[in-house]
Amino acid sequence: MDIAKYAEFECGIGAWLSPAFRSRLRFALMLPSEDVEKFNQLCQAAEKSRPLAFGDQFTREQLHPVRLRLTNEDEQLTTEDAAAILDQVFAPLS
Amino acid sequence: MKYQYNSPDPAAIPEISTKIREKFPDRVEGHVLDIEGVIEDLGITILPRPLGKLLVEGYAARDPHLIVVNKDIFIGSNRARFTLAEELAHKVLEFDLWNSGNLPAGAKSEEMDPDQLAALERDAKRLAAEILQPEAIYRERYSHHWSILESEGKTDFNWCVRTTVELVAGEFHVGFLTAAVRARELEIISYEEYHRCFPPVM
Repeated sequence: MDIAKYAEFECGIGAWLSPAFRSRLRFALMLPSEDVEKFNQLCQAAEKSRPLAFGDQFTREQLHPVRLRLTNEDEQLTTEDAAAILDQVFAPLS
Repeated sequence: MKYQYNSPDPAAIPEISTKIREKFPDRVEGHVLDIEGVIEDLGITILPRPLGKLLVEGYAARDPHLIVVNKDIFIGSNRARFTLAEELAHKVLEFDLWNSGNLPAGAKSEEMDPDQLAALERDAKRLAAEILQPEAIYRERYSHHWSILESEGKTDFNWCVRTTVELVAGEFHVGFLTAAVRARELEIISYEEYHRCFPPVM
């Protein structure tokens, strides 16, 4: 399971609620059989509502990088780098 | 007034680490600290995002409750553990900054004086290393494994260093090189020995 999609789902973003994703989610959450029906009902309700996007949940200001771990530790972030990072963070998952 | 980072006394780093490990006893198993669990217990959400070719492993976001990580580092979870520990270290070392509500001028990475930035990154790495591999335990485990290899009659120094570091890394669930750097920082091995035993991979 794609960890970024899973994290989005945990944040209430339901774009990943395909039958296959739902099935993988059930196993990932190790749901007991008595909770499966409730889980399916909640998933169906979520599918019918307006799907949230990542940008509905977070703002660029909230997610502005303040302290970073860069692969090249000798580099210092520029304003343009920070904007590029945020563009990438807010890009829809494929 | 422009933001000024005040480096803690180096002696305080192990004390901070000890407090964190003691505050979350359920998150310590053997010598391994469940860093993701500690972050979760602190009410901080980890957001894995595909950061592509931006060469960013992770970052502490403006919102004190959010840490963003490059989802690709989760492929090697031991590497992710150090990144998470470092981002947590930033939030601990600059607690007032994250919790003031307003980010003062000059506090963002791209606005900071390079010397200030280098100092805070150095401190965050030290604290992250100490959180994941506390000095006293590291020294004890290193000596333990080293003495076993000696008792088995192993005499190839470089091989013994690499093997010992590998065993210690396994006990702390950190990457091989993270444990090797720790041995060098603690002066268990010299700078020359480090480079001889762990040459850069081309």
